[in-house]
Amino acid sequence: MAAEVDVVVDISRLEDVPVWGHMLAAPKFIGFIPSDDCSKPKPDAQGNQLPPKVLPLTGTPLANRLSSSKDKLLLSNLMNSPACSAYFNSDPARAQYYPNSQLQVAVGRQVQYDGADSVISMYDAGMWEDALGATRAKALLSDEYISCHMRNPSNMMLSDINRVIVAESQVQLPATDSYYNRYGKNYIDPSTILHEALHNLTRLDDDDLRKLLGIKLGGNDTSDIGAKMETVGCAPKP
Amino acid sequence: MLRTLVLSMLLLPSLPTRADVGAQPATGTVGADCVIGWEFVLRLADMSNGARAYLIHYGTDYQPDTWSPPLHQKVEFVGKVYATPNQQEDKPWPTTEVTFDSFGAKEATGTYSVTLNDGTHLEGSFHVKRRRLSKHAICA
Repeated sequence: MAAEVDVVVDISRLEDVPVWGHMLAAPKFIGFIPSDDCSKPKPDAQGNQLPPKVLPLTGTPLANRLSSSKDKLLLSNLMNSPACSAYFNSDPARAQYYPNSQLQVAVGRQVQYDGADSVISMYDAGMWEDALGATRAKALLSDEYISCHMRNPSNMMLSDINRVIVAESQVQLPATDSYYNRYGKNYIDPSTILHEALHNLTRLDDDDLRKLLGIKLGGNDTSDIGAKMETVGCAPKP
Repeated sequence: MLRTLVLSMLLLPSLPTRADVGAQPATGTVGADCVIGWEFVLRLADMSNGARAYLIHYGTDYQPDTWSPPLHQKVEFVGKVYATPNQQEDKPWPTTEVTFDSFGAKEATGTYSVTLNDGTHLEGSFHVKRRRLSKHAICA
């Protein structure tokens, strides 16, 4: 995983409405109110409204990064390697996901979308676990949009620009969709593609995926999952 | 008889609940976390009866890292509660009512109350650290 976030904040695009942090004892200036409405459907080049799920435009940096990362993952054939096989088959919980080339199939079936342009709620995108239940998921997640998770950093709170949601994946059936962040594209590696495919395949969230993969819980972020796939020999290094 | 009744009436309200008997506050972390998305998460260990939990509060308007919960009010969390004896995840996810008594830059305190699907009621206090992500956090 890369070590630096290449986010540049375009101050000129920020509204000049100050926001004061209130979690600290003394008020502290933390940024500006976001100026965009990331939950509003976006227009295409012709001014037509884009659908809720938007494929990356061919030739864009995001499309190129996704294509090269996926190709590198598949062409490496590491998901079929003896090391990867030994790792998955060393644990019965993991082993259920390995036969019949399930990893490769999950990667192959994955439909990759441009998250910043996909104005779709977490509920509609199927990004909620069965245990939450459809009724509560609808109530809690119908107003939370992937496009807002992956919006232009220029429109984020200044306090937020050091985190990047690189990708989010569908865990509700058919569990084939993944949304990638063009503003975090430099973090998309072959192991990221496999990480998201594992969400699709297992329908587990990051913590449960960590347990399945034998990764210590409580990590700072989720880059440990991709790193594990590289370490055990299931994904090539970037 | 009357004395017993009066004593009982005096003592009962101050008796701790079963979960609180001899219990230390649950430990853990609270703050922004990569889940499916980017949400405000309360992780608790050493809850009453040895349970642990991974609880999510939705509705921070995309700002879980700067959002502060209201103090002394019930805040609704949903998520995983792993209860003894087998530490199995309680499904469907129960709603946990959390009340924050303090929420500082480094730690937070409060109480939780949750009824599991089998009717078991867990409640107690917590004293957790604020979860601070490193300078750059990558969620996928």
